[in-house]
Amino acid sequence: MNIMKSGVVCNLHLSVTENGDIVWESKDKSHSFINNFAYLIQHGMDAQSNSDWRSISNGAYPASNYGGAIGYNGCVLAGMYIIGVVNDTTRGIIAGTSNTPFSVSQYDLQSPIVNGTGSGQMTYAAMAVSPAYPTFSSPDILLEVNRDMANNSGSAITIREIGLKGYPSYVTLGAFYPKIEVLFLRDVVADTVVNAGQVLNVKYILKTVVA
Amino acid sequence: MITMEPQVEELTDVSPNIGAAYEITVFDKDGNVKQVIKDDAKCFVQNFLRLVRYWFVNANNVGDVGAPSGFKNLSGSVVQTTSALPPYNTIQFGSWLTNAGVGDLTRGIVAGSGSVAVTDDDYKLGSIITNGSGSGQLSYDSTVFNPVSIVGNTVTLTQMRMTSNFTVNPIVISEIGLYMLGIITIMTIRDILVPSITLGAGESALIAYKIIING
Repeated sequence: MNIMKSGVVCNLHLSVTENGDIVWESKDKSHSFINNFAYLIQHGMDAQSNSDWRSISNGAYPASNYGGAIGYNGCVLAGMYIIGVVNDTTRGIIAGTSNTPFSVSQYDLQSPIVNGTGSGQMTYAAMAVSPAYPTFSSPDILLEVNRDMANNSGSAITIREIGLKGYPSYVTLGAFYPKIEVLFLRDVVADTVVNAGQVLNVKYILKTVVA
Repeated sequence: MITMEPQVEELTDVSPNIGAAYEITVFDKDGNVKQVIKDDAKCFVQNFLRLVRYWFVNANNVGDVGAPSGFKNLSGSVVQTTSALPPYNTIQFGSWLTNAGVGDLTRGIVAGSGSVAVTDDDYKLGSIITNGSGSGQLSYDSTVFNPVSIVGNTVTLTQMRMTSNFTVNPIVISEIGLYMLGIITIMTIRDILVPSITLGAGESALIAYKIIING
């Protein structure tokens, strides 16, 4: 790992609440963005290279060549579109139950928890992003995304991984193609038990650090 | 019911998930390497996080409006943009380009002569060195990208740009930055060079920025 003094730090906060009271919480540094995020940046910068996105469905590239001329938007999947709505697990923060070690080459949570009230399921609230434009009041905390997940299954669920997914469509030469689910970030976390009736809140907090 | 003890603790690891480094290679007028400087980049400015936010909320399809995002332009004014404004096949979908052509200062790596300390609210170089062969000007080549490098869980994105002094007098480079072009030009990285670099007449500097994502 390169030791860098400045850049963007991403922290991961988990809290479990019951009847609105916090019964457990943890704060840690996020492990990392995965390759898909790197390709987002690279592809957006040069607009000519092939995109290397891996969809979560099968890890395959959705197409072989997205290169395009400037003005025709060779930028494919330039937006991540993480703003999941209620009950939406196609995008946003997702929880999972696998503690398979992290790798930048992963393209999905290893065992994502689906939305619902059945056994092993959680009910996903809408994503929230703050601060809302154009308020950037604090120079220290510029970006926070968070989501509640309620355990209405009737039994305890143990969370071991967290991910951030996007659900963008892609476009080349002005034509649109179907949306695909893409993972951008994955964290393996210490066992976090969410009992029946409790709510898990997950926050990713990004801030700049100046050396 | 399963109970857990509170695990709240202060963070001790504040090393960046996303960082940058620069490498500058100075060539004399005969093309020989004269000097090499390597260091961590000192500052992703706020615009970079605004860009991450833009990517987060951005949608690039009809009907997926996305949320508006604000950036500071080179004048320091906050400009609002969203990906959902037609025409849908233009760069405003989300490309923030650094693929500068020859002489293009709207994007890519740029050099300057300012020396004011970096802050994360910076929105432009202190004093950009313009393109040309007149007094105090540098000739900027086009941006070159390396393929994405993945070593272990570290991903590195490298781009570089040659700048040459075709004037008859030395030119001092004391700051560098990365400009990105969407519907406006924004600065996302700025660094002060200590010590500064002096390019004699006929000399060149290859300036490389590496964006590093640590897993």
